[in-house]
Amino acid sequence: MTPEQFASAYERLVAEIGRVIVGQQPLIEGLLASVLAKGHVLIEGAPGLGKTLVARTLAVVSGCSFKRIQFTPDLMPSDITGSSVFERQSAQFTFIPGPIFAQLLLADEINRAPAKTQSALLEAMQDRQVTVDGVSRPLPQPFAVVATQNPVESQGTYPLPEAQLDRFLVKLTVGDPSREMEQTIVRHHADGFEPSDLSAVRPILNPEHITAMQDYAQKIRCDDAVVNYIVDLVRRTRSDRAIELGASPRASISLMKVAQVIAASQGRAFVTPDDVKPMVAPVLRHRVMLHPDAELQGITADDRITEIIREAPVPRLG
Amino acid sequence: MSRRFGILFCIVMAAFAFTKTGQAAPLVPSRAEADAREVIRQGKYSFCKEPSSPLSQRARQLCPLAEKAEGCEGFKTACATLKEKERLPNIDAPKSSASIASFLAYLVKVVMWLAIIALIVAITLPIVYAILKWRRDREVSDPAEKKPAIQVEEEVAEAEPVIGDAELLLQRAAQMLERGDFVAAVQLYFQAAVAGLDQRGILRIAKDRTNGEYVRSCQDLSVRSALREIAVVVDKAQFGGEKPTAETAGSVSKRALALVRGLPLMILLLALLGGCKQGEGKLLKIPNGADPAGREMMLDLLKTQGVNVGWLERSLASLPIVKEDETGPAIFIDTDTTPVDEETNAHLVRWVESGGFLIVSGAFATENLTLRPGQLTSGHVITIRPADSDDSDDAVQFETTTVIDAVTVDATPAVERSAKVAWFSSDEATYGALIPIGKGNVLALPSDELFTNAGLAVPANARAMVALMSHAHDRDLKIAARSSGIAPPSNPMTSLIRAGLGLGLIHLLFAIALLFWAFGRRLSAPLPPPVEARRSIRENVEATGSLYARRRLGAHALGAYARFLDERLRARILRGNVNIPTYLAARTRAEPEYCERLWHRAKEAQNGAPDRGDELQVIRQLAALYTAAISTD
Repeated sequence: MTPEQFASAYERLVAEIGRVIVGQQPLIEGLLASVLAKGHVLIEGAPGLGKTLVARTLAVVSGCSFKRIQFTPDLMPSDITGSSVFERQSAQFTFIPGPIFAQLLLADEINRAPAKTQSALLEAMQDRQVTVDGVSRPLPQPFAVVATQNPVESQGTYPLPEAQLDRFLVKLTVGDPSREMEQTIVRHHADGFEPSDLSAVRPILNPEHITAMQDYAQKIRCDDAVVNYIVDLVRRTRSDRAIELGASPRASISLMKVAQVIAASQGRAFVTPDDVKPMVAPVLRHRVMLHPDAELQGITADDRITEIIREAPVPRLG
Repeated sequence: MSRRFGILFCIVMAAFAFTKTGQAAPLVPSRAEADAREVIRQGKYSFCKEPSSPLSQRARQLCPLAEKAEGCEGFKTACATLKEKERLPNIDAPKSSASIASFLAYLVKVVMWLAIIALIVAITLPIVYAILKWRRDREVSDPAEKKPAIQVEEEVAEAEPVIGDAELLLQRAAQMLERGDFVAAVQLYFQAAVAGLDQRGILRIAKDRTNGEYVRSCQDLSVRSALREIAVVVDKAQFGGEKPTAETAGSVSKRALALVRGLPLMILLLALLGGCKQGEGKLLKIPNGADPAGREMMLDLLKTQGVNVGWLERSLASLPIVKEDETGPAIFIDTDTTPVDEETNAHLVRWVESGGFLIVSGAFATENLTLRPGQLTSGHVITIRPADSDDSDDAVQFETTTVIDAVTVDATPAVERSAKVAWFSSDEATYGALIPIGKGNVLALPSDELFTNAGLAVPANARAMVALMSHAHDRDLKIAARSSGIAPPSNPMTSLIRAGLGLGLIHLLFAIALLFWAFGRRLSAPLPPPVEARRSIRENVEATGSLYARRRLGAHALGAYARFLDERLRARILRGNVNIPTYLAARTRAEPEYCERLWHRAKEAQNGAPDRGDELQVIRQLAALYTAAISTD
């Protein structure tokens, strides 16, 4: 694959998804970049902003198999991974795979399920396999989890533990669309658009293409100067006085991987600080824990990350 | 002694002999004709063989002389061709030089207006950029008033080397380029370009800005495009491991130079404004003597006669008044080509009256003299005798088609009475006259026919010209240029108005005034009130505590805290067991007596006990117990 081919395929994917999801370009590009970086995505936003629709549309245009799990308080881990069922006829236990055996898994409202159920995703997200009854079963390739959560409600929710949060490559926040965009959305629906019917959306690629793009992105050159810049940014989260718990080295790796995808989408074979900067906030915002006093003052993780970006010098020659 | 005196006398006499006293030798008209024939034969002037094409307006008027001029076949042919064209209406005739000239004049006007607009933009843009940059820098500067409770100490990172002066960086980059270190060169060129744009307020340098951000922050598309091209090369070199070639580095250097040193339009503008020059068409150089209406032959013929002749290199309005013991020069003016304004006219009269000699052809009017040339008529034979000559053999006859319609002096149409000398045709048409005015003279002629190249090519005309000029033979002769008739502007405003830019000047002043008013109004508008910083709970509590302490209301504070604890803990305690000290002791595993003592003290304060000085300590202890109690929930 050449840089031009990658960039062309990326543009086509973004354009095709953009036909369905209007006015959420950062969400589309963040989601696509993360999936191509072999990462998982956590999307946070109020209801009705297209979080579920964007994941479904991505699955359709990429030709990947898609499964959706609605997380509820009574959801069990086996409802996700699958379980062995005894078949009387054959007198054997037969494994019935759960919905996790899909290339793109949508975990809707992941914070509604208890921690025990959430942890069922841990092994899948990390190792891309599930172990049921002592048997490890690999998940299909490519595999990505797109989880959504609603920031408004706090009653009856179970905040994701840090260990699981850290396994999401990025956390994307979805805001309200602009007036013009909202008018366009309503017009689409007035013209007969049905969110549940994506038959008009064309599959641009197939899973093999996605895998090839993922493999190509990993080969994008990342100069030492850029690596140092990434590490500097992440390390600053650990020394920031408003942040009680900074980002781990996994954040540095994640930032580099997604920057590689961004560079490839621009048709370049190397990463520049311009590819790193836009993804710093999505990669770090869910990996840092603010000091309680800072939270009381109304400081958000994004505020501190923005400040860190402003203070970190961009690498230059000479 | 006498010998010494004699030698000195001889030296002085010799010096007098060789010194030019201004007293030239008498002009010899006969020699002039021979000289004229000789130069025409030599082809020194090209108006005979190859006149300037197209013929000027004046040259066309001299076409009747073409037949009489000797050796001027080229001029004859040009006149014949012109006559043919005028005779036959030609639908497909190319545009005449007049229409081309008018089009060019219109074009020049448009260009001048564009130059004015560009000048306005060039003046106002830096002002606007400077104001925007000042405002941007003010926004970015760390506000000292924000003091969050969490004192986030900003890391004092190693001082990022300031990018520095753009020209210095360009020099360093050029050195690197010469050395062959293209990687360093392109990076320095990029830094120079950024520094230059920062100085112009187009972008802002910051240590956290990437190359792409610098590019995207440029609003001007041409600047953005040039900077982007440099940034791409730098990124490839710095992060892609791709070293630039010499050609690429050279291309980067050109772009960086253009970005640092401003727009080439400024150079073009300067060239436009500074390139136009008044005078005798120095930009549009016409080959020597190609214009039949030119003065080259006149100048040369008079020089050979010993006359100190040249172009007047000053304005007529600035001619120095002739002093008592001085002999002023003779000034030749052709009013058809050298328009004279009123101010200049008045000064000329004063100059003549002081002793100047004015040779004027064409219409001319002063308080005392009015010269009005007549229309072209059939030929008149004029006889001119040189000055100081009574010999009829010296008289020169020549044929002219222009005569003076009227010369009035002192409102009295009496040329003969006023003139020293007058020349008439056989049919008593007046050709010209030498009219004394004050201490000077005016030699009034109907046209400059005898002073043009074509006119002097006609046999006998050269003699006539010299014979006329002999009346001013003891003076230097200066010929007025086209622009000499306009008094020089006394200030830049006048020159702009004369150039027809008066309206543009008014527009410019109005635009500047409007701009300053707009910005002044905007800057003087009251700033929106600053957003109130959210005070943290801790700050509020500390402030309240300080107030209580200053007013010695510790007991009141303790009582309020006791009330707070009562409410909060009662909400947590199960019914039937509302004993706060016991609850606190149970939750925190503190001594029950300790909790009881503290609670008792708090209740005393709540019931109005006076300050004892231990209120703050009690509050702290109760707060510790409360925090510990709720944390175990």
